[in-house]
Amino acid sequence: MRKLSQSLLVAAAVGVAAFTVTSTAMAASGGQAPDVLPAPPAGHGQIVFWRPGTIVGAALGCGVNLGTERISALGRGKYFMLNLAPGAYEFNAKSEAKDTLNLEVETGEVYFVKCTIRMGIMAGRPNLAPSNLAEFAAKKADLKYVDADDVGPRVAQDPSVAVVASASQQPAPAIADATPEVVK
Amino acid sequence: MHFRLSTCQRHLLLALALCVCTPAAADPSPVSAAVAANSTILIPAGTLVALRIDQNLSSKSAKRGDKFSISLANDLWVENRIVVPVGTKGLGEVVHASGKGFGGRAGELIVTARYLEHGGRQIRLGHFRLSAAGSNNATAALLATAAAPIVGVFVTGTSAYIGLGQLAQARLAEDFPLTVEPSSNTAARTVANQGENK
Repeated sequence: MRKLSQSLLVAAAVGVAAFTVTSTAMAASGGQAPDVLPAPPAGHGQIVFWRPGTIVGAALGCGVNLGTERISALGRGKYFMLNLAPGAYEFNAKSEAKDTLNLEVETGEVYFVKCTIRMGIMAGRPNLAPSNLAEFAAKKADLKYVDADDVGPRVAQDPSVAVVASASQQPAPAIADATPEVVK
Repeated sequence: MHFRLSTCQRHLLLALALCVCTPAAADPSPVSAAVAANSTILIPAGTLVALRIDQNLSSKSAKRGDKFSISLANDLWVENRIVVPVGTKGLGEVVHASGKGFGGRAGELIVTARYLEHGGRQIRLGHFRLSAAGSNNATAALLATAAAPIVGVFVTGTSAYIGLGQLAQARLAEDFPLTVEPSSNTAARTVANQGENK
């Protein structure tokens, strides 16, 4: 009986610690998506990966890979931007099954890719699917940039941080002509 | 001062005057003007073109790398003349295809336009966008797509389809120099159009 109570105490302590860690991690999460996303740098295209904030598969991360290289991981209600030179790219996300998405990036273009978690046999399966600005804009209010520890070397800086840092210098350019809509 | 001219000299002067005056007095026809001006035309990179998908595509059967036929949905005009006529054939390619699957997985289809073929040469295309408007009016569709780029078709839980006749837009990927021949239909149609405008 005594051992049982000790175990319960340990479990409770671990739970509290986990909650604290989670809270800290949430506090370090990225900023909310700005009204206008920054345009890709000259000679590059941009891919915006995002994941809706639905409850389905909430506990699972959606790791986005470029071939075998891990780019970032999307938690529920997160997004990140990736600036790439023009060319063909193969992205994938995997758990018990691998899902692949092929994209051709062109200069000045902005592409949107949505990650959802589908039902699997043993675990949820991430799915990368083509999306668009309208769909992203509709969910924008619920989206935040990926956590700082998920911003890999290829991932663009959180635009909300960049906007604050460059506010005294010059405004960020709007999205390229090809996608003139403003994210609302 | 008074000069006396011989008959022979008078004839020579008259002939000279006629030579000088004739070109100015002539009324150049629209045909000669259209043909004479700019026999070589440059279609600049970035020029917008309206395209039509000429076959049905489905994520159920399509595979990455599959080719499909496309055609120009509107005449391509440069400097007030038709340089590439409507119906010019071209080629598109499936960039990504994934069938619907387990767990409500939707079919995915991403396609692009590679080129139009004109005069035995390829006009390379880029910045392809599918139209969300299924109208026959290519111009209206162009306006619609300019504001709503769609890189792919995503239909939840079902296969993705791109139907025959679907309109799209693309831009020239590079400058395309084109020699306009005087006897070509293009020149004739340009002249006819100028006549209608007058």
